[in-house]
Order: sequence, then structure tokens, then C-alpha cells
Amino acid sequence: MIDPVVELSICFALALLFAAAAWHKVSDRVRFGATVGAYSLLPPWLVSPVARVLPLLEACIAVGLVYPPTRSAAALAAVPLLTLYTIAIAANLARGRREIDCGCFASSARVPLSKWLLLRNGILIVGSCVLLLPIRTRALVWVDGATIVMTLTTLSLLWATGQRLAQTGPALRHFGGVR
Amino acid sequence: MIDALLISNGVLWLLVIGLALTVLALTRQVGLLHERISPVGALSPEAKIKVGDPAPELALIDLHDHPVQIGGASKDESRTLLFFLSPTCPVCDTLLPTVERVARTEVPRVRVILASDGLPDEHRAFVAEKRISHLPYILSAPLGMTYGVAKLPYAVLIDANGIVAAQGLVNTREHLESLFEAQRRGVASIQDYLEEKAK
Repeated sequence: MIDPVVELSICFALALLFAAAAWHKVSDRVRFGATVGAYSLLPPWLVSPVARVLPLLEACIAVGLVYPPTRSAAALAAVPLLTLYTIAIAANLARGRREIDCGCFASSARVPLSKWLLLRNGILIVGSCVLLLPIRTRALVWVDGATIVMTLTTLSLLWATGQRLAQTGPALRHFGGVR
Repeated sequence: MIDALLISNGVLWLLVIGLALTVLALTRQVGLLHERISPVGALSPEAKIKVGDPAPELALIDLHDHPVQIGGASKDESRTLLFFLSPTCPVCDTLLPTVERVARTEVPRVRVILASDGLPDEHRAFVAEKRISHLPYILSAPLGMTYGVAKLPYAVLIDANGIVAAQGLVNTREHLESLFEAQRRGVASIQDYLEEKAK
């Protein structure tokens, strides 16, 4: 049983995340295609169609999460998609290819692959799974609204900070060589 | 209502833990930065007057016709920063306010003397444009030659006893500060310090 406030917070946060991810992928489609290719997990003829379908899927999930009747379906769809990303990153990390761009968001903020991305995706998958749990019914009051808004704001800021850390951390590793 | 407050409190704690973890990650990165980035220092080329040598005592007249004494023990325990510059060097230009600011914050006191050579008119215009008429400004080719200044901007720090404490090519604030740092640590230059540390 989860509280509706927890459910709504996670749901809106994930919706925002997927919407942002989809937007960045569509706005720079050429680069995203190259990024998908750089993961070198797909045969070349599949790269372009996959690069087109992925942002579309993300956009559908974002919309589905906001609309209550389709919420659990969207959450259910988010789990395999995130798992797919995680496996793709893990596979390239296992090959030792840390330098390629994650391709998760805007091309201006290149994030190299690292184990932090796996942890991050793990948290997102857990979040999506929580949405599948049964929800307790109770009347929502104004405090709940405030909680949701504040949670979303804080999560967005934390996300931005984490993104920066994932960017500068590996850059630091290059500096002065690996210990 | 109590439910809403309880949930709000729970969510708040989770966010605080998230924030704390982020701060921890940040401090780790700051720590790494401290460890990895060694101090940069002013480049000290082979100089005519070595660090530790007494600065030649020179009595000169500055651009504003005031007498200026360089070298020798100072009467008021102040140090001297000789800053060699040229109106045509853009780095000197941008570094000038920094020189003043750094000199002002240093304890004990630092007397800044600007040095250059060339035609007085050109330098008078430069002084007026940069509003540095309160600083002694010396035009003397022999002064530059005495210290073997080949590249600009070049700075020489002379301590209160008239001994050259540090000198080098300064391109940034860090370089300039390294001169004072070198004096504090009693080494000829930051490069020497790093070499010693590596041994």
C-alpha cells in the first residue's frame, strides 16, 4: 500500500523526466542517432529506426503517466525501457567503453558512461515499480498539494546536481591520471 | 490532516537523505580537485639576479618626478613588488587591477612599483587611461636589464631586507600569488617547492 502523495510525486517526477528526455532526443535527432550507433549493440540498419522509436516511446510514457487511467500501463512500460537502457550501458561498461556519451539528455551536457548511471537507472526502475503497488485511498488536503510541488522542485534540482556530478566526476578521473 | 503531515514529513526525510548524499559526493569531488591540481607558479626563467641575492640598490626618478628607491633594507618593513609591464601588452593590462588588489591584501605591506621603458608620452597616456597615477611608474631600460626581464608581464618580489624573495613571468592571479607563497615558504619558486615535495 502506498500513499497517493507518494504515488503522485513519483508519477509526475517520472513524467517530467521522460518528457525532457524525449524532447532532447527529438530536438537533436542526428546526434542521438549517432549516439545509438556508438553503443554498437545494434546492426547498422536498425540504428536509425530505433533512434526514432525511443523518443516516441518516452513521450508516450510521459503522457500516459499523467493521465490516471493509463498510469499503471505507462509505469509498466517504463520498467522494460529503463531496463533496456541499463543493460545497454552495462554492456558498454563491461567492454570498457566509458568515453561514449550516455545520450540520455541534451547533447550540450555530455555524460560519459559510469556506474553512477546504472545506480541512477536502478532508482528510476524502483520508482516505476512503486507505481504498480496498490494505492491507499484517502482525501487529499492542501498540505498534500504543497508536498507534491515541493518534492518535484527538490527532485528536479537534485537531478540537475546529480547530472553535473556524473559529468564532472569522470572528467576529474582524467585529470592527473588514474590512480 | 495528520496523515498528510506524516507523509509530508516522511517525504521530506527522504529528500534530506538524498541531499546529504549529493553533498557527500560533492565534497568528494572537491577533495579530489584539491589533491589533483597542484599549485601553479610563476615561471622563473634563468634570471640574472637569483632569488636570495640582494636586489641592486637603485635610486630612480618616476614618471611623476618623484624619487623612488629600489633595493636595500626598507625603513618601514614593507616589501616591494616590481611589476614590469608595457602599454602594448594586453595581459599586463588585465593583470594590473589584480596586482593592486593582491598587493593591498598582503601582510606585511607591499609597495607596488610599475616599471617599463620607452617614450614618456606614451606611458603618461597609459597611466591616465588606467588611472594608476597613484602608483610609482618608472621608465628605465637599465632597470629591466638589471633583472634580465625578457618577457612581460614580469614581477619581482623584494623583501623588507632588500633581498629578492621571488620572481617570474606572471600571467594570472595564481602566478602572482605564487610569488608571495614562495616567499612565505622560503623557496625560490613554486616549481622548486613541487620538486622538493616529489623527492
